[in-house]
Amino acid sequence: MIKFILLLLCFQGFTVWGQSFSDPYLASLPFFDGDKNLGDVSVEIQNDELHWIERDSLVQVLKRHLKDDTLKALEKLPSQVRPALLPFPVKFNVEELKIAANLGLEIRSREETDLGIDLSEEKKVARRPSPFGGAINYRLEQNWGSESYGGNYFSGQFNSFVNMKGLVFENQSYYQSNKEPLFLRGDTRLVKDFEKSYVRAQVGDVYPNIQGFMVGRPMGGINIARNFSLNPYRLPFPTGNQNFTLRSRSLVKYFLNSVLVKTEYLQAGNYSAKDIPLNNGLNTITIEATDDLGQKQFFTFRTSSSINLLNEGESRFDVSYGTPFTDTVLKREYSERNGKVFSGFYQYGFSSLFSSSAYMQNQDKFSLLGAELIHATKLGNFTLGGAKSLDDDRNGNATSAGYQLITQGSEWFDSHTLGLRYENRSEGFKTTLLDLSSSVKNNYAANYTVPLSNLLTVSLGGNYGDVRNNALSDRYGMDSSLNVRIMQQHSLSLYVSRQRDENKNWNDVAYVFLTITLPESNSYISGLYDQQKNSTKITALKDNQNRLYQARTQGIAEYGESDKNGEIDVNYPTPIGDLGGRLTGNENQTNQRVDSRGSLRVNSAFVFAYDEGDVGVGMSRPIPGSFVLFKPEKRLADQKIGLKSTSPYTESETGLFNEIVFTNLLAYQYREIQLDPTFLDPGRSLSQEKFTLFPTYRSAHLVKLEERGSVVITGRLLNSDGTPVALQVGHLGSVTFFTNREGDIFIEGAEAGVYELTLEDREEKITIRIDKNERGLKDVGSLQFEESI
Amino acid sequence: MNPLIFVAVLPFLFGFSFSPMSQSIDLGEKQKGTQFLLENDGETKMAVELTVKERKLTEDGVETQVDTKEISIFPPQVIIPPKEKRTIRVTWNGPSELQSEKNFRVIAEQLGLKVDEKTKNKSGIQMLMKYVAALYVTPDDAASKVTVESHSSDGKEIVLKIDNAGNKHQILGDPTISFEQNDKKVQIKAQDLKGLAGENVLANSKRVFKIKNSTTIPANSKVSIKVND
Repeated sequence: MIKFILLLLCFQGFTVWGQSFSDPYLASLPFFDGDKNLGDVSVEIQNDELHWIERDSLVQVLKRHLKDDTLKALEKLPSQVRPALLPFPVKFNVEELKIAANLGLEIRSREETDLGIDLSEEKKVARRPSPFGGAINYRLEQNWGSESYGGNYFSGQFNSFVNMKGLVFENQSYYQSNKEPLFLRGDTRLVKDFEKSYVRAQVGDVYPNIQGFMVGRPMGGINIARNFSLNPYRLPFPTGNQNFTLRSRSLVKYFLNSVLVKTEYLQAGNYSAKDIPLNNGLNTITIEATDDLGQKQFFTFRTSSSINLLNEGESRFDVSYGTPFTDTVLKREYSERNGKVFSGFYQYGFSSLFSSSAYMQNQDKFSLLGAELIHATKLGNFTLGGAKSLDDDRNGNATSAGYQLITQGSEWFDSHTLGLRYENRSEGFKTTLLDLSSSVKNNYAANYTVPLSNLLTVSLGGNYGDVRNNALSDRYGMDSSLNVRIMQQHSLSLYVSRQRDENKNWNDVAYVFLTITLPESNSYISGLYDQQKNSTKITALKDNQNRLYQARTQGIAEYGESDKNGEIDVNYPTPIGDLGGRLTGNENQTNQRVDSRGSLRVNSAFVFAYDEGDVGVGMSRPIPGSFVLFKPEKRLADQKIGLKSTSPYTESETGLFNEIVFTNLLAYQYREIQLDPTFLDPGRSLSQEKFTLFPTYRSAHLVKLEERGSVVITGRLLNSDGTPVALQVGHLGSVTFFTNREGDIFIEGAEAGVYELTLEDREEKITIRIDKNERGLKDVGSLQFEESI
Repeated sequence: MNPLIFVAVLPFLFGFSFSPMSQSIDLGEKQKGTQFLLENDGETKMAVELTVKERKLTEDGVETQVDTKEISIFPPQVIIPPKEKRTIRVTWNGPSELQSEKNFRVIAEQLGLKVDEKTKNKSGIQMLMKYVAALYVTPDDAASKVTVESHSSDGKEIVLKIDNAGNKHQILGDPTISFEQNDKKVQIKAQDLKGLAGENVLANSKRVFKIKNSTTIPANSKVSIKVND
């Protein structure tokens, strides 16, 4: 070991080198706390004795590792500190030429261990989207059927977007050949994201978010909202933070509700685990530390959270203004008859356990004002809400209170869910301008889910509505469900519900749902029995795990009291779109009639992008969000290239225009794409196979693909005596290569031309000529150097 | 053989990863090849040589590797830049139908060559890594069939001869050995089967395992093995 360290020091050239060890000398030496090198300190050494350590260098090294009071005491020491004055043992390790110390746990500061994702590498290499791009998704379907099934007709659904430097215009529209009007416009809007402030602004058809007693109304207008999905790696919602102490180096595992979150090795010390992602309800965090001797320490903490809470200091808002619209069968209707609608709320996290929001909606002379409070405690999550409605002739109030307890533990019997809600609405209270007053004054609801075994869960619920009008009866009802897991893979659910309205009408629902999963064949069979309709529906699905050129097939058979239905649907994914077909049949026993319908469809997208003077176009499978278009250079036109991202299977491959399109990039999530060169001819390869992309909302990446040179040169290099030139580094033009133990060479990236093959540390050159039309592997045989070395 | 071998020390430190450690070419799925992934985790370029050998295993578990032309690998040599990944293609050159699974090793070996300008004149410690991954060429409908052919015990050590009469290899994952004689049943579970648990029995081959275990085995008992894939 000593020889090893001395050898290392010889290479690295320490300050102490060349000194006489009998005289005092100054040196810069590494300061170790146990096994951990904290940095270099300036010291004076004589023989194997440490005289003093320079205070400032010591403070610099220890400032992140000592508690504040210890550090302040250290700063008051003389500029040259003798070891005896230090609050921890320290000595000069002459064998390893280092300063060895042992900082006690009582003086050591708390280090943070972050459970969040480290994205520093991705941020460095990720490509931003191209400045211009877009896609037209289209689903075209030709139907043939009897008149009762709509007859013969052609339909098309279109979902398009264009992204210009982050400004997105998107539109949905529909076409059906046997309806008037032929075209129906769906949502159309402009979207602009402001990433740094997590704000999304939209103009066009917008859907406001709501809180408390607000009513969500789609409108044609403007919406500006804080949208945390613009940075999904940031945690605006409460996360757990827990302190723990390790007395020796340990393997540390973090569990949240028995699910492993992270594993890491930590030295002895005081730690604070931060950013532990929490689930809704009471969370159990277990930190398991196993030291080198196998001894385990457990630190268990319980902390509560709610999915509706915000972190301390975080805020969220959603503001919309516009004309409300409704969709009819024929068209979208914007109604200005009752004026424009304003809708907005603001939520603020006062602490990680308490958030509050205020909201307002207005249309004409009607206004709804309200507030919501959420408080997470170890006894459960409490919510409180209040609202006031104001109108010309009628004002009203409403209040609500809720309680939710969700326990999650390591055993099946630890998981319970209890929900209670109370709501009161005064007679004058209404939620929209045209709303009628509620017939129920007080409403009480409760539900409880409890596991009876690790395979059996029961859920019970009940509600009671205290009706305002004494001439009517109170509403009440109950529901219960039973879920059984059979052999881990299959499940059976029973659901029963009875509800009585204010007119004493009973509404009964009962069904049985059975799911059989056959993982080895990716197949699922489910059966549903609906007691009310007295019908049985059986669905069988053979999934393709989204694999190209593998069909996904679904069959449905339904037996009702008066009719029988059957359906077979096949979907076949290809790189340029999904092809599919459906056959449907119905036998009506009342009419003694059989009807059928068949359809063929193509579900595809036309994509385009522009970047740095280059344009790429392609056909692909449908684009739900963002996409990347790889455009191979011309000489790769005769090659097929595959693509993989998260699936073990090829997810895309060369399409109609030689392009490769990956259709499933998620906005603001880093994605690593690996091209699959398996299909390339022998001797052909790509200059880059791995790409890290950072898509934004409905963005397009255009990435040019280049081949790694024209040819791959293979052969063997021999010395003048015929022995192999083993393990040498050489160059062919600008390309670096090496020989293996047999002298074999494999030189990628060589282009047409005349080159000199050289080896490092050898003067002699060998000329190699590559013709313009040469491609793939070029075997140059054995090349012998004439000069001996 | 340990699949990951650390070979030598010299001037500077860096590493790479090679995955997966086991891969199959399924002739039943009409596959002709498969791929591995080479990733340079280090800060400098590195030279890696890739070779394929046919793998043979004696009953005692001693592995031998011989040259083969049945599998080709591309690229056989690569200079991989830092933080880059490179796909390594292996192609089956043999017949499209096989009676029994064939076994190969794909070896990715880092060579101690200074191919990066940054490290040309540097001295330090270099750790060279060598990955030895498994590659199988598997016929259609292949299956393993593992039985205990014989067993003996001297009270300190149990000797088990495992026969795989099937045409596919079998990893002895989470094994349980059961000895039964009339009403007597003795079971030895994975934690007491060190040396056997996790080992590989190739297609149509036998392995002999010597396990330090003092469990009393009923005389003339029937023995069986149960493993989880």
